[in-house]
Amino acid sequence: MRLFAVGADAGAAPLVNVYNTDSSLRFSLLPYAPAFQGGVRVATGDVTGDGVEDIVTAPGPAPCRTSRSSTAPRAPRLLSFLAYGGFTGGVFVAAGDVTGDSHADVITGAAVNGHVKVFDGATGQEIQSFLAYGGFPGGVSVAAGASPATAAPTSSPARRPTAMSRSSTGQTGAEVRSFLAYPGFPGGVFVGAGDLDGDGRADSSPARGRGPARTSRSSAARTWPC
Amino acid sequence: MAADDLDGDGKADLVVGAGSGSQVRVLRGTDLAALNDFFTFGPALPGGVFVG
Repeated sequence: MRLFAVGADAGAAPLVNVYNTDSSLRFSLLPYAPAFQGGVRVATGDVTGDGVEDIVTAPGPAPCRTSRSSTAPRAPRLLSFLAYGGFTGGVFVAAGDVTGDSHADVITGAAVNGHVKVFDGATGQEIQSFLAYGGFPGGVSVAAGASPATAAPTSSPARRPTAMSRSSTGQTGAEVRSFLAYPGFPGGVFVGAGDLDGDGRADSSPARGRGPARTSRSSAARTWPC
Repeated sequence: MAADDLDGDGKADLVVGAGSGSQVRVLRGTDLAALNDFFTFGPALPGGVFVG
């Protein structure tokens, strides 16, 4: 069952609303402490393998005191881990089945160095780590699109002179495609991945962002069942 | 933003969130026709929203 989630950006409590495909509200959750106002980045994917998509969250840029519980009774936490150890930057997040075990894995993009990681959705174990743009100091937003065999994290810089999108295979991190989504545009880019043309392969959907990435205090990615 | 097949036609549709306020739009992937348009946290949200 497909769902989509909407997380509040910085300046508000870390609320997440989860919607069914017809845009009816399925439930809400509070993945981090209510006082945390750094924003919540969200993704959906079937982490548990029960056929219903689950929710993956990552904190945005602000001091984050990690919370151990959710106020949503229908959403006990499945997994919580620090995607980048002691790294104090913000994290973008995506979900897709990289390992091919029919369970969604967690793909993270750090706020600096274009650092992308892939974690096993069941265990939180890191299974891949690469720099999407070698030498690039800025952040990276991520997406994961299903293709017949695997998922493909798609990375884009959140701060780069040109708005370049890059697709990588989920299993090796090898570059599949790289293109300028908005030639000449100096701001950041957010990405999504989905099969827009119905050919069974995910396509890249870049969207322009507002520009510079900001620093943050936590890299705690979390997954929530539905 | 997010892309997934929400209307069941086998092709991905787009869900986009505003950078300020909390307006969310669901667009059909084939022609970008609006399938839904709503404020997820009300229009007074100080920041924007992330969609996934």
